[in-house]
Amino acid sequence: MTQFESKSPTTPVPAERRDESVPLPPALEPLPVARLYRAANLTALSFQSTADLEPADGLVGQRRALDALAFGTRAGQPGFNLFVIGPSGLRAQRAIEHVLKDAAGERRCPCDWVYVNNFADPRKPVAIELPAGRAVEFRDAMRAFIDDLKTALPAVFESEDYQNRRGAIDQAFQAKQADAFTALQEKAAEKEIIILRTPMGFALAPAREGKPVPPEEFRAWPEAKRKDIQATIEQLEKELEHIVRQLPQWETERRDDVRKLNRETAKYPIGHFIDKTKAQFADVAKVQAHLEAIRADLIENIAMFVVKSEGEGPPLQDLLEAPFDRYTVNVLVGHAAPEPLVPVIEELHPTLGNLLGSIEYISQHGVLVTNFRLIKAGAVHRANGGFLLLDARSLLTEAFSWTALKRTLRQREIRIEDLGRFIGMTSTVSLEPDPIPLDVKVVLFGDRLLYYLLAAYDPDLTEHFKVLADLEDDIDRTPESEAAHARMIAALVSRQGLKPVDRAGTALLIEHAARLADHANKLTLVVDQLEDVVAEADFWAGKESRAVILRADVETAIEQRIHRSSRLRDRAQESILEEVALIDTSGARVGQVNGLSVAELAGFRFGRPTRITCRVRPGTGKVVDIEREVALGGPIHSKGVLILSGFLAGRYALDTPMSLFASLVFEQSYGGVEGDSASSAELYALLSALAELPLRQDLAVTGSVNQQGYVQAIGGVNEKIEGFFDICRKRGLTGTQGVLVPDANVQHLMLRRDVIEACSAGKFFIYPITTIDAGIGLLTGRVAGERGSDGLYPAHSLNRLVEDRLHAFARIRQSFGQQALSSNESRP
Amino acid sequence: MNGARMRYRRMVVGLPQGRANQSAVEATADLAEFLQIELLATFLADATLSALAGLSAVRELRTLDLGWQALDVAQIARDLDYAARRARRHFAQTIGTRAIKSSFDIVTGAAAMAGLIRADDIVAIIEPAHPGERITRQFAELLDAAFAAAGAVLIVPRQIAHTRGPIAALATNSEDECIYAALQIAAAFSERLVVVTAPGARLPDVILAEAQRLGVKVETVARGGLLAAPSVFSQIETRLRPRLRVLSRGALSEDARRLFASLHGIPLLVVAPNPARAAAAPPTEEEYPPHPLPFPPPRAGEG
Repeated sequence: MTQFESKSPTTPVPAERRDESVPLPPALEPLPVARLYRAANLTALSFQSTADLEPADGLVGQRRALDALAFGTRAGQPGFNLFVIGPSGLRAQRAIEHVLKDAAGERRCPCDWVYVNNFADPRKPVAIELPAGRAVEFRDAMRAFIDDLKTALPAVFESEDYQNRRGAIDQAFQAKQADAFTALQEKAAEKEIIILRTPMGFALAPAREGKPVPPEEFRAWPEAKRKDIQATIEQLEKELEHIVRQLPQWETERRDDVRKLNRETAKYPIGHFIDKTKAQFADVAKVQAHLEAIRADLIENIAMFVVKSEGEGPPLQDLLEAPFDRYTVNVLVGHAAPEPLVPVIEELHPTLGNLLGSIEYISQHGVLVTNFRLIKAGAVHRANGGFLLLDARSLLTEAFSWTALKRTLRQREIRIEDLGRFIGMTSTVSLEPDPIPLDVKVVLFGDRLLYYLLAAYDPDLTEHFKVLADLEDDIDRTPESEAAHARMIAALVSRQGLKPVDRAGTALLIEHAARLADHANKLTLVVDQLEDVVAEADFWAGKESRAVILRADVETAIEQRIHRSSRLRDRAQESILEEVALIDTSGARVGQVNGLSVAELAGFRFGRPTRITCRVRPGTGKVVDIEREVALGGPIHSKGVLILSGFLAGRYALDTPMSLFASLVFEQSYGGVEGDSASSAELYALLSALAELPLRQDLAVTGSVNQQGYVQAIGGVNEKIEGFFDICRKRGLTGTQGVLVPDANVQHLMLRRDVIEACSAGKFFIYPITTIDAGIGLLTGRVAGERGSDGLYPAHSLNRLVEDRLHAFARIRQSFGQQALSSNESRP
Repeated sequence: MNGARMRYRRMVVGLPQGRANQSAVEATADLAEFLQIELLATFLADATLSALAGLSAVRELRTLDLGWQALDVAQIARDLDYAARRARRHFAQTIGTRAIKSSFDIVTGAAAMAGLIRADDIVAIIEPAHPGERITRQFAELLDAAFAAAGAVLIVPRQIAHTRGPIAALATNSEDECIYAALQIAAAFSERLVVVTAPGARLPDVILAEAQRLGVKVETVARGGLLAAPSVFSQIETRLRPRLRVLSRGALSEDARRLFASLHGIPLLVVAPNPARAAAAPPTEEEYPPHPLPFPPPRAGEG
């Protein structure tokens, strides 16, 4: 291992170098402390605590989404429903509802809807639209109407006049029967024939003095007389049969007369109450039509309500209750009068029934039956005229709900669909209620992945949800946005009933918002995470019996949240410190570098160093990524490695076939590896192996590289730096350790306080790197070098060493090729 | 029975060969139960039918299919047996758990029926289910036997209109036997008694005292105050809604067979004169102002 002496903390020089002709790489300054963390600037806001601030309601920094909402909620054409997407964990629904309620004020008042019986076809209940607030009035009016009828009808049918007329009909009927039979009986008596009852009917027999003639006496009569009697009996039999055959007809006539009497009797009281109710709803044509249908039905079926004799049949109440149910009103959706609110309805459990309504059944005598009174409204009904809020994931995971919603939006009417009939599980008679016209704005909430997947795989999405409201993850950090965040913190404190946060605590929360945004110049808009921190800080303040949340409470809250989640991080560090996982933090090695990776589990991210090594030999130009070879490397990782081949091929030994074999590996990594943030580290290791120059082990490297050698930005830079710092700190900072980061990532730095303190004390360094040449210079202490006019890199430069090595590999390969050729030629 | 001295000891109900209406039989049993008198059901099995089976001129019209067929002795016997058993079964169901003495008998004709009836019997005639049955010889003989021998004949309609209500006595005079019978029945039913009588007529003290003793409230309704109507019965039914009408045989004008058309669901009890009270002096015309009777006078020969 090569020892370094420190000429300056930034450019260590190999101790054994004696030749002054070997150029040193240009000095690379570490980042000043000021660039490692951006403090909050609340100078424009004068307050001691958030209690002094005006809370900021609604959505802060969401101009794009707010503009989309403003348009989508007002666009009147079909299909302009909204899909609100945003980062996971963003609970913007409440804030969106606020916006919707403002827009609701511009929509026309929603209507009430009721279902009533369809007398012509009870399977198809009739839907009636009423002005807002009048559905309940209609229902109550019909209840009063029914109550009035229950009193009035029995009284009418118990009246003396009705009883007399009914009695007259019955009497006339009975008299007709009696007269017919009596006439027959008299005629028979005249001819000395009597009518007898048999168990199953009647018989006519010759008689004498009113008694049947015994058979032996009859047989003794003269034949003429017998024949005469027989003929008479036959004639009378015909007449008897004729009368008996007429009985059903007379009974029918009697029933018709009774029915006519009942209709005439009922007409006045029914008409009186119908007209009274009609006057109350003179402005609703369908109610008028329905009441006329009730009038006709009542008159036609008045027999159902005619009071029977006492003790006959069921009790009067039972008799009258069920038949009148057909005239009741099922209020499907009713709004408050006189100023109904435009509905903003959120359906948390969007099953098909909860969404589009359902038809219930009751069991009667073992059979499932239903009627118009068992129709139940769904969320779409309740939201009709306003807004319906649905969670996209919940909607998609409920069977049939998504397709049913699309169908409803396409048809622009709400049809209640019976799930049981859908899947053929029920065969009982069901209902087909009138559909109700749809006038609802649907607002779906979902995460971005879900939205883009739906957009890719469901062509109906853009047909029905034309307005995308894309909520920002973060906002540019300016004094104005910081002030807005302070007010936002005041709002969430107020909403949650927490203690106010002092000025310093507020500043820390704003800085934490930048850390959560992974950017020093941005602030996260996922306020739910801040809300959780404030809630925990409130707890810690309460433990100290403080009335105000201080900065220390906020710090404690942040630390405790990390502490609770950091068990795996601590175990990983432990394995390094115990040298189970081998990581060097001092010295130098050829072909070995400290790469950095980040792991994220359940929202907690932590960085850790990983040893990356490279071995080289002559070969056919292949750079082997061992992770990819064993299927542990993801495609992006593999892409990064392949880029190294491109870099080499484009820079070195351009006049020679690439005769390199190199293998790269993440040592002691047994899980999957993805991403290209370590590709610059891999390239350093490869160059080190080719040039046979050692790399500093007190430095860690992160950054992806392109084929031209530029170092590109990566993610999780703060966690990666802190991951290497933790190891170095626990082993004891040497004063030379640090991390190479892409220059493009400097704007993302919001490091921990202990890292900043170490950097401030000159014990740890963060180097911004833009090119591989700069990085390799820092890691090797050797300048990379630039190709001169002679086409060569400067002697002793790293690039020269690499190119010379590649030429050597090419010669070795060439000589092997010639030997093989000679060997072939010499064979007979 | 509230201490009333019941004139009647037994109720005899004649069950027809055809199916008897169950609610009518129930009403008969109710009356017997309230009066606490024995109930005898008699099934009239006409023996002459079998004899007539030998005559070719005699055929049976079966009401089920309106087809004619010759009388078959065996078939008649089977049908009669089935009808009798059915009648016995229904009667047993009607009696159920009622606390009255009851029995079922099969009689072979009107003569046998007449021999069965006593002067202190109420014979219940149930409206036949088939209107044609009223003109049959058997029904006529049943009515004749009942009116000839029984102390009272109860005409029971197929459907009973009211199971609660006053007892209405349609009296021709203040000493009308129907008032006494109605009073006893009202006491048994714990209902009030309404006496429909001539305007200004006053009930005798003996009736009022008996009513008081029995705890029966008595009202009088003047016939003259009723509107002219085809049938007095329908007027009484409408205004009073009685559960039972009581009439003396002497006031009965209609052929009993035609009475059913006028009943309107209210049973009618036609009482024969009480021999014990017949010894009392009949009321004179001077006691009552002349007033047209609601009924035509009885025809000669009709009791």
